[in-house]
Amino acid sequence: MRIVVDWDACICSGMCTSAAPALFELDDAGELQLPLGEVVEGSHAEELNEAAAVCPVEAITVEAA
Amino acid sequence: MTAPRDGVVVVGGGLAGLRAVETLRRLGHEDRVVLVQGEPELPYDRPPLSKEVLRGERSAGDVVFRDAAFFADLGVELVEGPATALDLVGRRVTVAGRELAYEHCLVCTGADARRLPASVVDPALDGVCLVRDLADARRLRGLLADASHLVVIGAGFIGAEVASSARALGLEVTLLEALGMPLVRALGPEMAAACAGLHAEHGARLICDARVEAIEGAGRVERVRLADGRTIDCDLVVAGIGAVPATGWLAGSGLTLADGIVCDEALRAGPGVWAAGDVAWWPNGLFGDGMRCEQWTNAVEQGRHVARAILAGEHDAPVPFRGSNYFWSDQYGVRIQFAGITHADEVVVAAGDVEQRAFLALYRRGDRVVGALAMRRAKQLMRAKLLVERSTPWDEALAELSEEAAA
Repeated sequence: MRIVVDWDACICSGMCTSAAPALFELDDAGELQLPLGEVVEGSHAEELNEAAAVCPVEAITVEAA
Repeated sequence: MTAPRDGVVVVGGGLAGLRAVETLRRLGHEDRVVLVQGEPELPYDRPPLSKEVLRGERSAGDVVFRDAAFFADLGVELVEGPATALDLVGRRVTVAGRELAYEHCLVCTGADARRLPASVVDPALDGVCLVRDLADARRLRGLLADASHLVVIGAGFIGAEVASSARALGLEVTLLEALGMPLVRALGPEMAAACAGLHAEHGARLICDARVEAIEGAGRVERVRLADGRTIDCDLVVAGIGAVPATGWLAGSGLTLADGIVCDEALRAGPGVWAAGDVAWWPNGLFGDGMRCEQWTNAVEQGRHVARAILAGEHDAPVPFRGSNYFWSDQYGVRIQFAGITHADEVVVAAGDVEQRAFLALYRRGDRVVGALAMRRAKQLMRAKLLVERSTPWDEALAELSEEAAA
């Protein structure tokens, strides 16, 4: 799966970091980072979909890698 | 014999209602779903109304979440409200004289802005605004363009965001706070002082212990008069004095109404009736407190929670909703974030520096961490939020977050 983040839309609310802490984290400046990169294993599907669903600005979409 | 399935009627087309109907369909609910809208607009996002929309960075139309075609594709019937009655026994909602039968009804009618009393302001006076719905924001945006001095009555989060937006537009801004310190009940004195400090640091004047006696002007607002005799000349007034749960239409329905719709821990308000979002009061097992939560995140989480519960059916034990009350507020370029509750025994700055407006503070109740407040410390705040959600012992939380800051 590929995590697609609309970086212009992202407001760094941190909601995705709660929903999927393995896939999303905020750095020291409060900016969003993807610790495992954009392409992740299918086993993360549930938390990734959860993160996409709770994003306040719907900046996260999931694509087949 | 199977009873006829009347499906789900969601009353209230705000964020909680939107997320509920989306979740129902996404998880495979196939019965009828009706969304009753309380406003003429399709569901829209409120946080930008006090920020980007006022500053003209986003148009009012731009905050609508979904177009009508989306609901048609989803198989969700939109009905223009407002709903006027709920019949608990007959399982029907009355909307514009029409009866909608339901198997499950989710009430998410939100909260309405508290209005200034007529003894303080003539409702016909121009230049006095609320900022709650899209129509308010549109109107205020127009008025800000021609105004030079804004008075904000109520220096809570919404008032502070409006003040910040107006400063960004170059207006002179005065905030009036009824208490000795804004947000002191919400955050405790030290953290409230840190938030209040932002106003002066960004050129807005804050007057505390201010009791507004009258808003005066000939046709259009010209000044605000305080009980101590002071007057503040202005050409625009915004009242941000809180919100009251929109439960008026449920009077006599048999639902328990107090500070909102009283629900059980799983957000059930009555047989087949659920509540979510600003209107719902429930015993929050995470803290052992009953609460009502007027936050964006809570509306999302509760709307989704009820949708899942409806899908799980009546045979499964209902899952309690445990909410961590996360929110953020952007003021003067500073992000303030909070998770948990502030009814605490102790508040400790775990990282950063309050004077620099870059810090993380933790709230302790008993031997647990129950809340966290941050300015410009998003990473640590999100860590703290997880610890709050896990009811982490205080010493552990403090050690982890202090270490992380030191690392």
